[in-house]
Amino acid sequence: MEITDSDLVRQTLSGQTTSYDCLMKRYQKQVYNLAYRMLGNFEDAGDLTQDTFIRAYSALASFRQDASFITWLYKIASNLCIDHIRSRRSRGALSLDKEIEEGREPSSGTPRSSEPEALSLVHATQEAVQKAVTTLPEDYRLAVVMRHLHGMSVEEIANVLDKPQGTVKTHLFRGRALLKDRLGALLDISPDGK
Amino acid sequence: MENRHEHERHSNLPQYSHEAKPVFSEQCLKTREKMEDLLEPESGISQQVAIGLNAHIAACSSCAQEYRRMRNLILHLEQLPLVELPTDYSIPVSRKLREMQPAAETEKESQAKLVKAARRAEVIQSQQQSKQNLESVVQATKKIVPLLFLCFMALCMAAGRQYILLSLKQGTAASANVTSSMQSIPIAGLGTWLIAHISILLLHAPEELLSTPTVMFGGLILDIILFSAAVFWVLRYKSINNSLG
Repeated sequence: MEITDSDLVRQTLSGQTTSYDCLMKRYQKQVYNLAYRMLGNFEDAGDLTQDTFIRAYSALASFRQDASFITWLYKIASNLCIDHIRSRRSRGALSLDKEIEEGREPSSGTPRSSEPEALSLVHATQEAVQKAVTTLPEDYRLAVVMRHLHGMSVEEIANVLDKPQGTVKTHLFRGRALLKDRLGALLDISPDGK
Repeated sequence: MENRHEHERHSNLPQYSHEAKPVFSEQCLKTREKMEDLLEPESGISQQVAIGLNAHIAACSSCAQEYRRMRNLILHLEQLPLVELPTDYSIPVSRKLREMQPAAETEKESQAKLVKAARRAEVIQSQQQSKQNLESVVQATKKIVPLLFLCFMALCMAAGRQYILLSLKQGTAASANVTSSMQSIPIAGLGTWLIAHISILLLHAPEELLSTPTVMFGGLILDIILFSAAVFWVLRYKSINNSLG
């Protein structure tokens, strides 16, 4: 039988560091994916994943045993993502948001993409969708990523972001509207290629 | 000729003119507003509204395109694959966490810390115990005070009735004494004699009445009614207090 998250947290707090390794192995992929979808960059996503687990370890004593550990991790990760995006912006780095605001296409930062010609039409559309997601304002981006890429309910997102459900719904609505406008005719292609 | 060249020149230029925005009917606007609800399982849209929206989408090509795009967007988002981890991040994180741990403590320091923690735990425990005791006293007082009040009220009511009965008996006896003393003065005391007799009648009647078992039983019933009213009042007061927190 698999050990529950709260048991692993309890063991970690009592000094068994290997239990925290189990928690990291269990959730690192989800945290990494959230970070990647938010930041659009593999390197930053890796750093942010590590920071998330270090922060979580430091604050583990404040974790409520009856709460969901992954929701709590998402909360830490989303706060770090927002901090990261804001600091990148304040440092004057040319963010993807800025590129879009200036009317340019965001440059591809994904190492897995090959030449567009070699990609199938569906794959190309997915690439465009991913790029468009990383250009959304961070509040909308978080709501869209958590709802559609991580399959979380509006209630769960509201818990993670400490926002009312109505606000989350508004962010989702506006985020999807922005994506639809930005992707335009590309969305005439359905994921099954029809 | 010059006009034709002018026309060709213009036609080769990119068209920057403002395109006329399509005019949507009110139904189109309403449909677009609610369109996402059709695709959102959590929206809680009613079946009737969904049928109406679907009917409009089936009839309106512009809304159908919008709907198709929105549906495809959500499908594309949901089908974006999970990115594989380039490395196992638990290894560097564990290393960093070990580095962050304070240097190993000496045994003496550990013992001192343990003793200190145990003392602190004892203090906290005793504080909690006294707090619980105080709490139980407060709870008991809250229960006893209304009961004492009710008993006091019942006693007051019974004593009141007994006092009235006693007063009536004394009044009757005093009137009888006056009447008997007035019998030796036939004319002068006639008026007083009459008044005394009337007061005997007036006072004796309720005394008799109060002494009968029926009226005593009636008094008991009245006590019970008053007592119940008081209980009801106390319970209501307590419930209001509870609801206020």
